[in-house]
Amino acid sequence: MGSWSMTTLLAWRNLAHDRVRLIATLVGIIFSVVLMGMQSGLLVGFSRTTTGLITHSRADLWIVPKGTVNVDLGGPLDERRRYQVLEIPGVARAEAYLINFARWQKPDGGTESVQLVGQEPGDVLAGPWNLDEGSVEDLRRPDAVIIDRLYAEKLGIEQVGQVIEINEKRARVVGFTHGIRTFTQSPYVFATIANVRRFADSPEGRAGYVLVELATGADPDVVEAAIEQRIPDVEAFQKDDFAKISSDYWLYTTGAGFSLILSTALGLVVGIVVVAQTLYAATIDRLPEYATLKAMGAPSSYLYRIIVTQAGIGAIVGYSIGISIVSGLVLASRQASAAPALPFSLAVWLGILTLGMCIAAATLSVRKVMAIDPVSVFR
Amino acid sequence: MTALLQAHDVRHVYGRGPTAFEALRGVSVELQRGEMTLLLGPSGSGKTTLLQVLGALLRPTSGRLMLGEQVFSGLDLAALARLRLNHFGFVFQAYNLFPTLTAAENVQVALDLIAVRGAAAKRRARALLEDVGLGDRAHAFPAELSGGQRQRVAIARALAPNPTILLADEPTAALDSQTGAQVVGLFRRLADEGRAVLIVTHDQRILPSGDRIITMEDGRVVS
Repeated sequence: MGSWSMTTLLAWRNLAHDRVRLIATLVGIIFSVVLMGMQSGLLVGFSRTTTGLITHSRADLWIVPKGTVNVDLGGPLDERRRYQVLEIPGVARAEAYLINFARWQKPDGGTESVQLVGQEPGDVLAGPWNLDEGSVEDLRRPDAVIIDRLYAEKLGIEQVGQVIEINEKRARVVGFTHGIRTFTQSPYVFATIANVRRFADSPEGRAGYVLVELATGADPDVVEAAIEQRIPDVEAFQKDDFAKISSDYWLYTTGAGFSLILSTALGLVVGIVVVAQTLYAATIDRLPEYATLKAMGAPSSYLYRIIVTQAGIGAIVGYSIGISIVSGLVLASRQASAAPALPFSLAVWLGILTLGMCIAAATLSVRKVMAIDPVSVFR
Repeated sequence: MTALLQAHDVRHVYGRGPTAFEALRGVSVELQRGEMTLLLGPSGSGKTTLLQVLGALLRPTSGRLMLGEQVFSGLDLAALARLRLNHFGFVFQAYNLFPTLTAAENVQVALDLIAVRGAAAKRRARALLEDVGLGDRAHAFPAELSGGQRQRVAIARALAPNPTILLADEPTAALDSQTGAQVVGLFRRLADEGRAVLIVTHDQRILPSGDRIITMEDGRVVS
């Protein structure tokens, strides 16, 4: 502990001695943290956006037409599947659920593409959440829809009660949610499944999904297997599995995820290069002193500790500033249609990554110090 | 009198093949407790190489080195580092102080290496600086000190582990005559306290202060 305090003092003084270099080091780390934080935050945000309908449902299982790759692009499913599912032991409740693209005609002209999300009326397994105004019960009206405030302006809506047309059929906005984004940029429009069928000219008896609530104590794996065995043209997924499939589809087949991961990696590389350069330069400046310590009999580990502590201090200070900036940006983009997210676990991972990055950057300096010959102190 | 440090027939060759250079050619010397030995000779005569070999910084090509009864010429690098830490103090021409640490902190680094830390380290650093006449400059950074003061901080640092042997490489070369005399006086006192002191020097002014003078030429002790 005591030894750490002396090496920590040396490390800090070495860093702080050259203000310009310290600022360059910190700017490099902060830039890297912000880039990594925003890109990985967008990845998490996108992932949440693509799976919001699933993760906010109370369904234990999602029954989907075979080959479904994500929740937004579900194929048609005969509603009779719901009754077949209900017969399977372990199923307590099953509801039809339908998602359909449609054309929204704004009150002042112009159209927007929207995604109609239809569920059974009442207390259901999936429905709008984060309600600011109106209620799920309001959806029982024959023309009722609920939209999110994020897209109100885009859809030309200012207040509850406004009447518009969906696929040239009259609809009325009866409520607002907040924070429900869509990855496709076609806003979700919540309605009852009956209204969705009417708006979308979808035939009676057609659904997109069947949502299942399991009976208490039922094993989801067993029920899932039983459903797939009994109904050959569907697949059954546990909620988290279907969320992962949906998220992976959008993030990796569209290239968005790859691009975000690449940018995150770029941030890491930039950080390593900047920190390695400045740390190396600081080490070169102190070579005579390091050689003196070696000549005095200091073990190599003592010198490594000084350099690694320098890297650690840079990481802690740079991360603290960087993560504050990321938090501010995340907060500021709450109302944006593509919002990054910064869950606590991501902040922790970014901290670990930053520390790892700085320590990796220190290896060049450590190698240099390893090679110091104590007799060089006499040259 | 028993020699504290002995070198028997030490040879050291730099490089190999046709470019090899024999810096030490069968050197035998002894350093005694309480004695201040001056090592003289022209540039390239092997003085610094001998200092490095005697100070366990450089393993000789052949020959035997003994610290008291312990033979250390065959030790590995880590063992040599431990030996230096526990028995040797070094003073360099360019001081080699950490410019970002105060005088007291520079001494504390040396104490840290022998696990003297915290308040005990602060007290000991203060006492060492007072011993070299710099008690009132403990919180000054090297840039705020004169050359002589920096060299005295370096001596205080070298004394931190309480070494029995002090090895100095041209310690007065960068100092004016008055400051140089003060530093030599300090080495004299340290020798009188029972340490073996070896000073490599070109400085003729300090010759009267030495107990013994070893002169080298072409890698050999000539007197």
